[in-house]
Amino acid sequence: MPIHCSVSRDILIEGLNSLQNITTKKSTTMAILSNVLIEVTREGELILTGTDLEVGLRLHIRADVEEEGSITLPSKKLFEIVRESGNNLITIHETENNWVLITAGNSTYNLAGMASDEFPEFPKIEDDTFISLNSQIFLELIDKIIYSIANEQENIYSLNAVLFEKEKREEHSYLKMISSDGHRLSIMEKQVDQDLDALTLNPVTLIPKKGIQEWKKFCEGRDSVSISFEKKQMVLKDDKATMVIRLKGGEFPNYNAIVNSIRQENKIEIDRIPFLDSLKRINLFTEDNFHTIKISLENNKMILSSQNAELGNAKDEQTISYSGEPMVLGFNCRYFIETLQVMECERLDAYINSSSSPCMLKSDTDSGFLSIIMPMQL
Amino acid sequence: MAKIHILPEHLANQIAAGEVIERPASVVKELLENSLDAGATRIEIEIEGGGIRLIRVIDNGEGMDEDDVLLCLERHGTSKIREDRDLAAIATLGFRGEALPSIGSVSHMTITSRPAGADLGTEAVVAYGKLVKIHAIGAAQGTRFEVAHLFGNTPARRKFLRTVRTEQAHIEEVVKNYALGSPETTIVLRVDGREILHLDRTLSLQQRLARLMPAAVPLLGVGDPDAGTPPPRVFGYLALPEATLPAAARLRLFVNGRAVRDRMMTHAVIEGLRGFLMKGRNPAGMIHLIVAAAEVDVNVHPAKHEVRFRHSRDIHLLISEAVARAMGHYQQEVQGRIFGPAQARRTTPIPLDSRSVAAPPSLAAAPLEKDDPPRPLPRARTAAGSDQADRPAPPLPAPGTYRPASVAGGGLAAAEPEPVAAPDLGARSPRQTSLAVPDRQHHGMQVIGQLDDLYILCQNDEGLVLIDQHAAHERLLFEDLRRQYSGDRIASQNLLFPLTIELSLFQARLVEQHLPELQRMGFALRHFGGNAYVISGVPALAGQCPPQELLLDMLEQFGSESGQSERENRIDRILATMACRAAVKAGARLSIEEIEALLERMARADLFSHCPHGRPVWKTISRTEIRKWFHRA
Repeated sequence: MPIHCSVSRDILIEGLNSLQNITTKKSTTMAILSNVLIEVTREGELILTGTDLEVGLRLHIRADVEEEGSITLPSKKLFEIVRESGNNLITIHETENNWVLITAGNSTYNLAGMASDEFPEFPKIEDDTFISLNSQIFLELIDKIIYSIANEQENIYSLNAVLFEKEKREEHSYLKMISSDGHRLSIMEKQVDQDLDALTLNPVTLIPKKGIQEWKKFCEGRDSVSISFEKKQMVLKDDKATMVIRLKGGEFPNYNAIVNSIRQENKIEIDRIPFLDSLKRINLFTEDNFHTIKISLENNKMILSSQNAELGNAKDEQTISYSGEPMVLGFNCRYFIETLQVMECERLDAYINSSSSPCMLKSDTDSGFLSIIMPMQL
Repeated sequence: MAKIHILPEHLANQIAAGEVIERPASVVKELLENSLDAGATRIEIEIEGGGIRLIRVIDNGEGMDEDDVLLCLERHGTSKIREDRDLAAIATLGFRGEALPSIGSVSHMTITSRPAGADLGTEAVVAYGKLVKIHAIGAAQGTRFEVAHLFGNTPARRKFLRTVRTEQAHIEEVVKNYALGSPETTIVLRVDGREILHLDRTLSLQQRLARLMPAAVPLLGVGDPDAGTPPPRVFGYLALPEATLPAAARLRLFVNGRAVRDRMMTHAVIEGLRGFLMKGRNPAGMIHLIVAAAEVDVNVHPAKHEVRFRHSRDIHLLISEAVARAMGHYQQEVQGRIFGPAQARRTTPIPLDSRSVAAPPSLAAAPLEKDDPPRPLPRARTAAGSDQADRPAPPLPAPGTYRPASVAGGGLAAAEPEPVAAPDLGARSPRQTSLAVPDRQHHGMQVIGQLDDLYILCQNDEGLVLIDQHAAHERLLFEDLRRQYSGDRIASQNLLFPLTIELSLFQARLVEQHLPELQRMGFALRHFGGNAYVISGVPALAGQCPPQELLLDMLEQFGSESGQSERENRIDRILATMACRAAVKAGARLSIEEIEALLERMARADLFSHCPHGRPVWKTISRTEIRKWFHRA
């Protein structure tokens, strides 16, 4: 069925743009995955689909349809063509043997496509109990925990994924995201107005890092998003777009045990921004690969110091509120910097009990967020 | 009648010949040594029939008069030592007074010699140990030996000889050794009338070596041949470890100009090249050792192939340090070539961001303690663990190489959030602002891109530079680790979720045995009953590579300990494994910023040219070469 339709450049470019991250994944063994599937329906709709088998995105766009059909075209090239075209109307017309003639004003392009029957089928969505939530909730959850997802391959725990949980406490519903790279942990929790009983989560719901990134992108530019979970996948959608993210199997460590193990007695109150600035200064003199800093605590004083064998050393002092025993601790400076960067409070509380036990950071004015950083032994 | 009787002289000589004169090459060796000991500045060697038919050695040395000619044919007739204390400090190549009678006993030998100042020379002819005739004759100054029909009277020995070609190769080898041992002598070798080697005395040692190497191989100068420095001293040239060597290339060792075989010296060279020589490859080139004659005993073996040193540990250290130092200089030279001169790299203005003026230069320069050297010397650790406290400290790096601590340009680049160790930057939170103030031109190279997600392609003044990203990063991490390890311990990152690991009995025993070392390497381990251990801390550098795998790798290194391989060697091996694990992998796509940061570090590093396993890190393809490919001559 030769495809033939016309579509507004602005709408098309927006759709193609949001597909780029999914379709331009490098070194895929399936060449067709770097293509975008274009389907044109009699109802005057153009459907763009891209997938890397982990995340799939399907977008519905209005189009003037001459003839319905389907074809796949190189995603990046198509995006570039549309982006560089001056005309506001783009015509896509399949001529023969998967060759597609694209017309934009005075410009014409002949682009080689691939038959659509080899394109992986878009996952079926079985569960139709969707809960619509303000996308701001997800954005806040994701932003606060995305930095501490592990990069590397997994060990016994699937730390390169985010743990997603719901909770009901005292008649209130909460959504929670937890990430950890084994050296630090961050937890973000948001209260939601909706009843979440219909949301069926697995005992351990793990969303891969890539999925989280795409989830975030999906939420940006949308006010509300409907969400649904199935055994192996999660679905995000609104009336024009559907995203399916494959869930990860595996185990996530029992983070509650760690949180509960930290005695919240030895409290240090620190001003966040001065602390962050101090850390950035000290980080100038850490060793490139270790980012080791020393934190000395004594009576209402915190001294940060670092040493670099080639450059020299640096020292910075902070006034804090602390009356416990003097302590000297080692930390990866970047772990602190990254945590402090996502926090939004003016003053934060740190709980440190010994040079080898976990350090907890949180703030009353940054509700729902909690971060734990493991020290280093120098 | 007594059963025991004294052997007749000629039989004793034949027996001695069995030890000294093994094959024609031995004759050449003995005659060459005599010529060199006679102070010859030109020696011509002619052989025919693999040396069996004829060996002729002509020198322009001091020569002998008739009495000397006669005496030299006597067993133990020598001019080289006189009394027993001479034996303890032999300064000549020969000394035993055995060679000539031995050769004479198994061949037809003609000696023609005239000392300087005499009008006439002497010619003596010996046939299988018997002096046939001796008479005066007109001759050039110097001595001329002709040895014909070698082993004609000892068919058994003759039978053991190999083909003419093999014997000839042995002779060539001997001549090459002495040519390198005595660079101030012109040496000519003719085989069956054809000149195959002509090394003029005007050639430098390096040129000589280059001529003798089977192929053009880049050479690394070791030590200083300057005769002014008192012994012991070491000098020579080694083929660069990354050079592709023909199979025939080998390491030649000389002690006071004498070619020797010595495992200790070879080991010292390998030790000096540690971390640069790939497994299974051998060093090639030559190393001269000059020691006081009393320090070395050459009277170990009749053929004098072997020597003994009075202080062999010192010699070992001397050689390995000289080689390591040469490698260190080579690093600086290469650094200059790839990244531009150190001067240019240093004078780059320091980009100071108003927000980050945290460390004024005075603070930056302050921390070094007075008596610390400004920078750790490359390979200074080789001195560790030796009993050589009184050895003069190795010289500081050349003036151009010391970069003061106030060069903050690199430090700022280094402040970029873990640019290399965490290649996946895509997930970085958008709120995180980069702390780096990138200084693109700092390392003097222009990044072109990445090939196969493994090789970084750059261009510099010379041409195209390829860098193996994994090997490069591995070396940098390795040096970091080694510095931390030798300091105190490797920084250890506590784990949030301690991991239990079930070991085999053998592995558990290794952990038990090496627990303090493992701790120093950054592991926090706790026994968990049976053969199980809990890992609660890992080397911080290892980042997020799976702790169990890392530990098992380490244990494998501990377990694979072979024989008496030294502790330090093992540590290096283990640290190399750790660095390999933590380094950016082949197949990792790097951003331009990451590449820049890596180059930046390489430009600043002491050692960078090879990964700790000896694989080369970089390769330059010159513009000239590229032009040639495209016929743009």
